[in-house]
Amino acid sequence: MSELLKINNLKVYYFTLRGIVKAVDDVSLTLDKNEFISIVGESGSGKSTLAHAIPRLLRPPGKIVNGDIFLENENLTKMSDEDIRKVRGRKIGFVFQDPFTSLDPLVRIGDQIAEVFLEHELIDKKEAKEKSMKLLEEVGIPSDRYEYYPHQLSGGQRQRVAIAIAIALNPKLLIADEPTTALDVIVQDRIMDLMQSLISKGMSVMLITHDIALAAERSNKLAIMYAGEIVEFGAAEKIVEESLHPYTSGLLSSVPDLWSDKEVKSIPGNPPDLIVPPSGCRFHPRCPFAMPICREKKPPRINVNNRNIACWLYSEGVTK
Amino acid sequence: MSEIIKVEGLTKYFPVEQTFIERLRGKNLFVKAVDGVNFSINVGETLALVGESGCGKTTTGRLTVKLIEPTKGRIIFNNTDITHVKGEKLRKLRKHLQIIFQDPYASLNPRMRIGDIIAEPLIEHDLSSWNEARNTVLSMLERVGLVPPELFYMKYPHQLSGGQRQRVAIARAMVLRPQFVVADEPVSMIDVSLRVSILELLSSFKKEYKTSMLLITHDLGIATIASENIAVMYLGKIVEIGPTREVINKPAHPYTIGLLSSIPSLKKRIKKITITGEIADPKNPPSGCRFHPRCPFATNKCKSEEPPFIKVDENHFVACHYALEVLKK
Repeated sequence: MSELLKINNLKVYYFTLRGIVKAVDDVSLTLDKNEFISIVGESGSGKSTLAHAIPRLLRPPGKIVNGDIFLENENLTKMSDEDIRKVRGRKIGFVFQDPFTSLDPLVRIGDQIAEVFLEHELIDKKEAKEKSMKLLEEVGIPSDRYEYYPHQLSGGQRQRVAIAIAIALNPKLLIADEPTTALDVIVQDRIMDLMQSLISKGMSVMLITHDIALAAERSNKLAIMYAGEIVEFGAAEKIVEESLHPYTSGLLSSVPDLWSDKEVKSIPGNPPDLIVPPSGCRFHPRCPFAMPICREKKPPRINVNNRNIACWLYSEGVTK
Repeated sequence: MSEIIKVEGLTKYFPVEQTFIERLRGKNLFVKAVDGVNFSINVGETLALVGESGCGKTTTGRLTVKLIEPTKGRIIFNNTDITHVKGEKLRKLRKHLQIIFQDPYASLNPRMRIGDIIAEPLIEHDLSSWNEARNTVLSMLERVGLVPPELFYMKYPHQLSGGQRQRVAIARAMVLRPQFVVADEPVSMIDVSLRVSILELLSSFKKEYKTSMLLITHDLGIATIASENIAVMYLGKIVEIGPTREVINKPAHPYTIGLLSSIPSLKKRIKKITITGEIADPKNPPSGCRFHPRCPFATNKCKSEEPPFIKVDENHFVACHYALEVLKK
């Protein structure tokens, strides 16, 4: 499979009055064409910052301080503001978490979609309207709702409109930042069906979520993020089968399983403050297997069984 | 076992704001948030009230602890009818009826210290003086895992994380040793990895104080690990109620099956029913069975006749004309 997105050693910091928040700290990952990847982590893990950094949607005081983001061999971090504007929408679509605030309440939903075509393509209004109606049907909204305003739609329908806007120009990559967190389970399931169907249309999807079960079910690859770093990265199926990093295992065992009496456990402690992250491995204060070295030295990223992990447990020659 | 709380035919209609002209035309519109709900909870047990947003579960919770007045129906607490209790009597009653709200960012006074937030109910109900309360609060802080308690006593809500704030909200409700607590989505704003520890905290109080609980949640997974009984609500009505394990393993209402089929799972999901569409407008609920427009098994009977509760097993009741057939599928 060919590579679509490649992120190398990305660092995104927020320069606040309290200090520097290292929200994304040395993250590398790759995404192939037609792949569904999920970035999984708790709130404050930096997953949303990572998502916003890719199409350079970060707002001050957030800043990319290091690293490269290649989309089909084009380096997004080096692009001019003019050029990155052309990448947004055309090559990268973005769906925000909250469908109640991401749409313009004063513009008819159809016109909001048509705006994308009028802005980026040389077509007239009539053609744009036709294309928008077709797109509405594609995302599961009857095209006679073209004239509706966002407040006339339910949360799930609004998120469908948001997806329609994001995929209007057939981007290579769709990034969705917690797209179903504000929605009910049944509606969530339908929206995820819709997102998964985009893969067959030649798109790649990057889902940002805190729900590892949701991610595991829908993705080819999982990237588990903790305190600004990716601690485990690999095939979704394999990670669920046998997680290697203790944080991943902790996440997996905190998911209730409806049909068995499997014991559900929380991860003790709280995610750290990213202004003063813990020394060594950032997970060590919450890790049940922490060794002396975990406190002192940052674990190197190593490959174990086709999986990329950052944990001292798997480094050879470490005294346990 | 004895019942601590029982509601009968609980109903709440909210009037819809209308223009003068609309009112002249005599159209009185109501949001039928809760429409004839019955349930009872035994001493020391938890009933999980599960449903989508807008189904009326929060309104039901607020009604049972008398935060709002019901339009119709009765609330019986400790064999006494408390439906119309008011004023000083209601204030005294509140000692036994507590609520934990969903949003720990909004439910705690940002200008009060954590210790004072927890001490306030003790003072308010004349259970102790500020001086005596301090020791109770310190041991409570330790009990909910906010250690060292002396340090947390002096902090303000904004200095705590969401999970820690929810622990404060729990401590504040539990410090009165209430007989009945409504927990309204207590973990929905908390990270998945920390949810279980909050639920464990709640259930430890339940055991120690014999507190009964109405746990309001949209998450069947949460309901499964923290309740003895489940009631599934749809558009203001309970559609299925029974022992938790039984409702999960042998659901008999198509809506319950649909809910269960849409929960993401780490294992291969058993997808029995796909529900499409979204919850209808509670101002104008569908005729007959309110779920019929989304139900894959709906017939003409469902459109015209409201289904009665059918007993499918001991203590397991389902409001569906075809519950017994659905169960066999």
